[in-house]
Amino acid sequence: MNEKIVYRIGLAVAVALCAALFSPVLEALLFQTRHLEAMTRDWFALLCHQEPARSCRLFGVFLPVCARCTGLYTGFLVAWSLWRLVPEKRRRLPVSNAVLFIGIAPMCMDGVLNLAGIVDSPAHLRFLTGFMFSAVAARSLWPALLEAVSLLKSLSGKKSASDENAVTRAGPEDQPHIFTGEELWKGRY
Amino acid sequence: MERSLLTRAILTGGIASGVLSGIPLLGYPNCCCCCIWYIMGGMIASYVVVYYSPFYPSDGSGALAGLGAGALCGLINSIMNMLFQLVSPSQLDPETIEPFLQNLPPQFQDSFLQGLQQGTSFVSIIIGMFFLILVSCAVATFGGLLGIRIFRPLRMMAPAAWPPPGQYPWPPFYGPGPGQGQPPGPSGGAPPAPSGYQNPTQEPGTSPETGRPEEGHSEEDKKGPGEQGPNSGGSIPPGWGGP
Repeated sequence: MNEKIVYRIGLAVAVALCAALFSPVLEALLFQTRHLEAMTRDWFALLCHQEPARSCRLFGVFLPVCARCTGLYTGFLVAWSLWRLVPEKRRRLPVSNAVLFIGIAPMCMDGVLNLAGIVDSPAHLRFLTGFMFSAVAARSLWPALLEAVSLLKSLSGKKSASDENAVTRAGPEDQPHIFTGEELWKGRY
Repeated sequence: MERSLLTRAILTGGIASGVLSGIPLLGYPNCCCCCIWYIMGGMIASYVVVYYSPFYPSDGSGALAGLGAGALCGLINSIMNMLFQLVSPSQLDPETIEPFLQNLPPQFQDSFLQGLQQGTSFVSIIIGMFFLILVSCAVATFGGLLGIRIFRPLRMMAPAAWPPPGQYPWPPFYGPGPGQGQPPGPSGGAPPAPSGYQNPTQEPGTSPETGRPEEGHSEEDKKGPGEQGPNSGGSIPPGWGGP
């Protein structure tokens, strides 16, 4: 039950964001107007610099966020949608720190080098680094959010038999399995 | 994790990152560094969880604290942004929209300008707030997870640098803790832990101040570390460190 709740909420969030992102393109293709191209820029104004030189253009329509943010949103949607394809046993396993680092480092390096003015990354590289970052982030959030839902239920006093094993990988609640640093770094579960 | 600890973590992370994001110039890193303040809000919340949790904090506790901090941060950010817009409304800068108008065919320029005007309507502002809160929740949740992964090993590696589990000082800016009187003077040590928190290092039947067995408690009442649950004041979980 926890998995369905978490999956549906995450999917709804990802779909809503991507729908807002690509709605100007749909509007231009279907209705031949550009209202949403301007309105969506206001919606995402606090989340992105929205520089046209660093934004993607689809069918002549500027997307309301930059290429990196476009990669972030689409990567999250794609990765989250693949939840159901992952075997159930592996869904609850935490992502190792090494995988997190591999997912985060390219985007951080790209951002820092661009901010410092050392390089000027092309749009497709920004898109790819953002895509990779959010794909790894989505994958790492699955088990954490399952635990968070169980924790929330225990804090509100609601617990069910199926939630007993949701908090940790194995064992009852009073004897949680503690992943050591070595296990997390080497991905041994 | 206790509810008060979660509340404290959410308030600390949410208010700090929300205020930083809401101030016009200080909030610019959110735009150019991929919502860095929201990530920091989640990391601050998870830091509070790791610092004050008497037990080993799981990834879920960091994610939950980050989620709450993100929601609060998004709310504060959007409210502050609206207030600043009321005080000094930003006007359309022709240089900003010129690149778009140049690339637009003439038949679309009017609809684009109409869309810009409609973007300042109440419904559009509410939709913008909604997306802001969504993104801040998602990003801060990940920030909370990152924070747990960073701060948890630090506490395990250097337990002496952190307050022992359950014996942390009550932060002064939250006021006196429940059941506490005046905070101790300069000559006193750390104030006693609030009454709602368990001290896993304290053995049952011992005085919390001296650590010595109290009268009426015998050796038979003492149980081993593996025989007690997490909330019964037993020993520190393995790997969690201690004094």
